[in-house]
Amino acid sequence: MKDTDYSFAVARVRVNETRLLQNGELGALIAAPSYADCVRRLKEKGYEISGADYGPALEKKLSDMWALLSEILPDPAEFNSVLIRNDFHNLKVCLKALAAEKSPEGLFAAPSVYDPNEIKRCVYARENDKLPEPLRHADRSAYRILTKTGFAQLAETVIDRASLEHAIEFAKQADHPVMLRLAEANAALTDIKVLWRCIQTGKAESFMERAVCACEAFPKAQIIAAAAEGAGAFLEYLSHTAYAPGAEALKESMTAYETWADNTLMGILYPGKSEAFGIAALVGYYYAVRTEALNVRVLLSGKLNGLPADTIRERMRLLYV
Amino acid sequence: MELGIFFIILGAVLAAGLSGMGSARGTSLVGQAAAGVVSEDPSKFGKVLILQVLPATQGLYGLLIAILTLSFTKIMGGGDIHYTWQQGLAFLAADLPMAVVGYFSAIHQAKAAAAGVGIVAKKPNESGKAITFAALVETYAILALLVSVLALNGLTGAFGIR
Repeated sequence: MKDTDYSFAVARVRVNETRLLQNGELGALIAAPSYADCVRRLKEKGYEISGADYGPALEKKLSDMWALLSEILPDPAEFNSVLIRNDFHNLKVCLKALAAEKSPEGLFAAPSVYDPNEIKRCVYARENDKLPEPLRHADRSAYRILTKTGFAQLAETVIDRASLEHAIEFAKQADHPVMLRLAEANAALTDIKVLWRCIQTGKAESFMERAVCACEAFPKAQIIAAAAEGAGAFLEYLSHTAYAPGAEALKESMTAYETWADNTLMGILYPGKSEAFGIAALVGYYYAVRTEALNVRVLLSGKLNGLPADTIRERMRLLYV
Repeated sequence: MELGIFFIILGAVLAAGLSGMGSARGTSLVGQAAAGVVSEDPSKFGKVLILQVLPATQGLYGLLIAILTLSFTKIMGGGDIHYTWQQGLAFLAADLPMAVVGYFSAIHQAKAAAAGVGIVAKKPNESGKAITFAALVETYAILALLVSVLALNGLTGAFGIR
């Protein structure tokens, strides 16, 4: 696919970008005196929020975004590296629900590459060979861990790692530099988060080995060895990598790190704002809407719980537009 | 057919053909971007149409050179005409600036114009700047047109055709 094949899609996205929340508007929302006032302003931006349940409005925002992208993308398969994480989430939900003998309905993440109901059917019927190929190995490993050891956290970790590995794999297949940069950065940022949690909860090195996804940012053996030595050695190791600011954020809190991580991913997408052709603008729009929805969720939740404006502001992610 | 006449016709065909191909590709590229904007906001039709028209001019310049070539050499008028292969090649060379520059400038102008469509999409009041960026590429198509016209004119004089 040539970059110029995206000219129609990019132009449509550019118009839709003008409908996203701007920094000034977000600032005004944070400063709004009440939840009701926020809702009133958000309704003017197209959010159909009623009462205190803002979830459906945010889901609609995301589904509208995907409806647009799936309509204009010349080849939706090129977005697989971005969407595959939702498939692994859906697999995780199905396995957990199966283990707990509950229904996974209502917990599926969208948009996804594969039909979540088909994943559910295969998982419940234990037809591993009929699952989409990228999910098979993770399903087999996670199911074995769940049934033999009941160690749900390890099963979850195995799926999360597979999700990151396949995102990188799909990004390589798509052959778009921005996709690969995004997948690699996402893997590195998640590895850091996972290892930090391992350190905090005193997990063994063997657990870390199974949890960490190999990425280009740092040699897997080195970062695990640093994490196995403890928090100090891990932060020291990170301070010599491109992810040094992440070490500073981790010292502050996990929330600060997650905000920084999301902002780092957004930084990768910023060049796409000035590209007239290619998939970068479309990926940027996808993350722009997701980030806006996340910010609105943090904002409304904060307003409902009476958090001060400064606290809400600290948790806001950088906007794309 | 004499080789000289063949070369002259080849030059005219290349001038009109390549420039036309460049313009067709260019207007198509900008047209797709323009359609993307208009499908979301029909009120911007007028502004994006100007940008789409810009890469169409190379095709017209190419056609002009083709007509001038056939007219100056009296091939268009018919009659008993003879050209050596060297004369034919000289006319072909005169047509090449418009053929080559016409093709490439139309495509590159289209890329600038499609990027300008993005400006119009986000900041309609800045459409003048978007048009200026794309229009500057036109300079080189005009220079090529000028070179081809001057060369054709010089050749008709040098060969005593008039």
